Amino acid sequence: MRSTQVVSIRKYVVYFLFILLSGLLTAVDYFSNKTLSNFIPERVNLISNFQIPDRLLQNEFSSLTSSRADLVAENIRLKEELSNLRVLYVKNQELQDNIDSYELLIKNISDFELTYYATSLILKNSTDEYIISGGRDYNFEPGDLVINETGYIVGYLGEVFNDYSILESFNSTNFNFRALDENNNIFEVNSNGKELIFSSLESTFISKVGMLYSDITFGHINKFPFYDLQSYEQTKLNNKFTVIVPIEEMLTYQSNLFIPKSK
Amino acid sequence: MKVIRLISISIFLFILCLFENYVNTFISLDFGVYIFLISLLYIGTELFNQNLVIPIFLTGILYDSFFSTYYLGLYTSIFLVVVVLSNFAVSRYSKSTVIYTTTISLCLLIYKLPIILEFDLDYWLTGYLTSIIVNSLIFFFLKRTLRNSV
Repeated sequence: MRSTQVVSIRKYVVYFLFILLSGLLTAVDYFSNKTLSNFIPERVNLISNFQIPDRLLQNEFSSLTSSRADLVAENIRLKEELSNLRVLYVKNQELQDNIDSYELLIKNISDFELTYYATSLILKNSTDEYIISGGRDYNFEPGDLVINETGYIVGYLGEVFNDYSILESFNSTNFNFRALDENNNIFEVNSNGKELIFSSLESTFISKVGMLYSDITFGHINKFPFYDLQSYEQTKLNNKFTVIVPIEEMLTYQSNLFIPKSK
Repeated sequence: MKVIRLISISIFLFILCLFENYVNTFISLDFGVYIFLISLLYIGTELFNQNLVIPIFLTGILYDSFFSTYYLGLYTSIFLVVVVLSNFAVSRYSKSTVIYTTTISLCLLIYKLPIILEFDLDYWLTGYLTSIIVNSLIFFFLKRTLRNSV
């Protein structure tokens, strides 16, 4: 009986050793300020490597049938042309969508001194953070603001890798943001996943909070609208405001996202 | 040959892990379809083997490096603990539906630990309970299908 128990525990020894190794890696990564976890992503372009090469989208097998009758060759050439046209059509559609989203953005922003890089959603990780395209290849940096086509902030970059970045959006566990209102009162914004909690950091004598903006004093690139709190219930205690706003909009593959950078 | 086998399993598991994230990006309802977790549970309950520790470890390291903002090794430990726990529960107690469902519930709790620790109960509880039902159904379906095909 005892020997059976020993045998049953022994089968987990290797697993326990690897769990310990993982714990050790976590400790080393913690003390090395994430040098270890950034080691692989800094050397590999993951997203670009996963793109399907155009070669595969086209019919590349026509060379194998070059010795066949002209009719067959012509048929293959036409098929090839058709597949090329399909690729072009997809590219054209993507560009058209890009133009539309840029046009919408231009209507909503006032600062044209900045370059607005279009980015798109790739996937959502296990902790509800969004992985978006573009990274160090576009000189993105952690903390860079991410805005939508209406010019409103939807989050900021948490981590930046070679060709992709992790977006800290409103429903992300690490979301922490500072913004200013029209009267220069500082607000700290945190998320509990379903709601955004706005808290003023200093005493204020205003009666109601309005629109909040990003500001260069917090390291942001420019002043962008963040949230209009006018229509939400506001609690004032000791001249400090707390506003709780439910998160309604989730990012989707159709969301148009931009990262403003200085030229 | 052994190395190629280990690398192939690691790549397969990593693709499953990516696929899980990809599927859950589309799902806007309050639950998740955790295909990778189901695979880990299947490994733990049906295919438990010491040789699988390296592929699971490598998958965890890749996931931690590329797609997680947490420290390296966190998800690796979670993946390994899920496999050990599921195997322990099934080999210690009977292979009944209740035990499987309890194991899935516990493992899902461990799997979602980073979110559970950060957020309040009302954020994740409904999604968690729904996810148990959805993922248990998928697990039992997979188990039955694979048993029949074998």
